[in-house]
Amino acid sequence: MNQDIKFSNRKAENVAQNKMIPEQNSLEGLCILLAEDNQILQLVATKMLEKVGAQVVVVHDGMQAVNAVRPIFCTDECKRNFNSSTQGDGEKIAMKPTKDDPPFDLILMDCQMPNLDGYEATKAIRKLEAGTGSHIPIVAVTAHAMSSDEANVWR
Amino acid sequence: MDVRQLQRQWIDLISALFREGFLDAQFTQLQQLQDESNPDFVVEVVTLFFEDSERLLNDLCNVLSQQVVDFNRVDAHVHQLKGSSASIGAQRVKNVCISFRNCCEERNLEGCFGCLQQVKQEYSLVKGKLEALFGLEQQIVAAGGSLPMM
Repeated sequence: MNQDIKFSNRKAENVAQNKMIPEQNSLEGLCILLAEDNQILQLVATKMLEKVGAQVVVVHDGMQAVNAVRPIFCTDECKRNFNSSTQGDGEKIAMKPTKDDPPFDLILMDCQMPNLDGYEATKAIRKLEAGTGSHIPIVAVTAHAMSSDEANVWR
Repeated sequence: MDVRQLQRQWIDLISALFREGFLDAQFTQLQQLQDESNPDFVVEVVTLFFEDSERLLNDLCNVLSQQVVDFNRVDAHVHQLKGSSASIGAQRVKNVCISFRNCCEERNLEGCFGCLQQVKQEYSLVKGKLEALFGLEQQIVAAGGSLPMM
């Protein structure tokens, strides 16, 4: 009994201030694009999201994020080549995503990345979406805490 | 040493790591992400953190040693180190990175050097303690025991 009390006291010391654990599979069925250049953050974030049921696609910079989204809005010729093709027996493979059925339910965008940062990548994606009616939610992920950074995100 | 003694040592060590601020709740999150499909997740991520940090600390030394210091580059490296240390729960390393970034913003070279020494020290401390923790885990498992639930 004493040993049990000792153990539970130590357990309390171990900063058991766990953040709220989301419900299991609360993101089931969601496909998330994670744009993050830090390999460790990629690994941890992917695992956290997959643990609650999300499917995660990882890209390493803003340019790759834009390129991951671009095919949805590309030209008709591009769509003909990209969206479907036939195999030898004439069977069509599954239709590729379109602007009415985008591949990503959410984009998690790191603000500070090489090649193209999160702000510019977001602008580029919104430009692609303009006039199409599509609007993939983009969440800015940043360690910056200054109000100017928040202002940049809104811009 | 029997399994129970090893388990007690493990509990003592991890308790101290949290109590002394070396680790924060994010480390607990990492432990909770580990499961049967990925039984070595914590060790894998922390090992990656060690490799990445050593590269970044080396780069920081080089950049700060230049005749004309590029504070934007220094800041970029510290930003990476801050992100990765935060993601594994290495709280004291992360906290030094916060001060380090302030020095970069102020273009305070002396401050940057001070922070570099401090972050190297904190990194070395947490690395040693985590390696000891993982060593104990290996011994516990090798002796047929399991890790206490936290």
